[in-house]
Amino acid sequence: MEQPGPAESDCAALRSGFAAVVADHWSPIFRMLYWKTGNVSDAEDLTQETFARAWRSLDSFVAGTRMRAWLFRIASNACQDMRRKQQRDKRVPLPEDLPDPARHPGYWLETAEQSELVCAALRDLSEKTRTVFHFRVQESLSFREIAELLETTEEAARWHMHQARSKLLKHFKVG
Amino acid sequence: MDCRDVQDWLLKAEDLRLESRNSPEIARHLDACAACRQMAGRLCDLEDAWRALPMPIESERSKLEFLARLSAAGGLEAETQMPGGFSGPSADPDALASAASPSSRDSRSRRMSRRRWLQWSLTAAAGASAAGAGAWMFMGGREAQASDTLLDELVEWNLRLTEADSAAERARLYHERAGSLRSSLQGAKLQPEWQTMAEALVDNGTWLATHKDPVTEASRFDGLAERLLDLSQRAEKSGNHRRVRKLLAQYNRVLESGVNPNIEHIESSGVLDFEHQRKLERIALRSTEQVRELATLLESAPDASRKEIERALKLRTECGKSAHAKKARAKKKGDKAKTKKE
Repeated sequence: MEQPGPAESDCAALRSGFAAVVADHWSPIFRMLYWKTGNVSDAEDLTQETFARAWRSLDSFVAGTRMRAWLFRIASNACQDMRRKQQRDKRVPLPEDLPDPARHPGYWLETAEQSELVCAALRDLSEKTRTVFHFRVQESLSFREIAELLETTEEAARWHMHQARSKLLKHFKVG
Repeated sequence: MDCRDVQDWLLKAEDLRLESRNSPEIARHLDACAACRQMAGRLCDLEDAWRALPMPIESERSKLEFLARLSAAGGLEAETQMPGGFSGPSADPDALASAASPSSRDSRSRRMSRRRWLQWSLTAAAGASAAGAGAWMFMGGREAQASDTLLDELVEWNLRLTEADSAAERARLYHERAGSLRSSLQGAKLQPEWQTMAEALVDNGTWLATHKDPVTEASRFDGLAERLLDLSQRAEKSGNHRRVRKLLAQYNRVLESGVNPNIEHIESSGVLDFEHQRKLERIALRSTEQVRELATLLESAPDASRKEIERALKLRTECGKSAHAKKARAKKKGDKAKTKKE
């Protein structure tokens, strides 16, 4: 579980230690964006954009709060901005490339059978449902925190979780 | 509480394990009911499986790229140097512009320049520590043949991808071969220059599978052609004429089926933005440089290679003219549209 940020607001200290911020938080941000967009290319772009924005707005980080939650918020906004821009430019969105276990034999570094099956089941979910599931299961965020990040209600976040779990069980024909 | 209530609760619970233990009613029901217990257990297993999913390998690479760009723009301390102590060029225009710019970028269209800079940086570092072009001469015959075949396959795969009409077709072509090509690459014992070339081709194939942009495709293939020409020149220096012929044949294939057709398709893709025009300009400039290099190669070439070099010259000249013309037309169109708006 992530510890709260530094006790004193120290923008200069954050700037000089930004490499450590990147090292600590890059993977979770990338992973979230990957599962949110379903697309490695978009995840790469958005992760870089997230940290670039974070770098530029370090003075807006509130001391004592969680760095990762702050970065997730930036990442979500970056993703929304990208979607808006794609709509404006009428660009055809890239196909989702969430791993298809039957077709990516060499793609993953290491896979477990169950992980591949979970992937396959969650591919059919909406982006929001997948995101809620990811935040809850991978990042251990509470429904309240998830609701704040996604600008929705706690009840809605629970509902999405309900959807995700139901889908998983249906896929594995349990219950 | 009946099964329906408990199952509904399980589906919405924040923490399956903790909450079921802390709620006496739920705990009692789960103790007594095998079906609900099985469901709870299954959900926990599935969530564990999700947590176990590995990261795409691109994550690490893009992190290094980002740190290198920021470092190049003077944003980070020395500890952020790239692996191997190579700190990247002090002034990469794209890195500085990208790191400094406050506005959001069309980062897809710049990814080629960012990534290419990173790749070339790593290649330069690898090349400096390798035994040099002469190492080629000592590569065993069977290994040479294996690397030739692998390179052929990778080039062809890339060209099939770019020729595919639809995103679905590209995805199909990608999935068909990506796994086996990566396995072959992992199992092959390649010289550093060949390894880099092969990896660049795999990377390009992966990019093509999820993008469709004639200008960027032309630019990427142009970059690959440049690498192939570089390899040909090294082979020429080491006196390996058979290899020169082979590499130039691939160079010609890449120009003929990767670069030139994409340049031809540009007009159908609408008004080009500034970044795309820059890419076309770079293709045109590169063409001028490479025509000179090919001419030098022709002077020293034995008869066996001349045919390939002459064909390369022809294709390269056409490519340069075409890129230049498209860029000029695109700029004219853009200026016209601007005037109309005003």
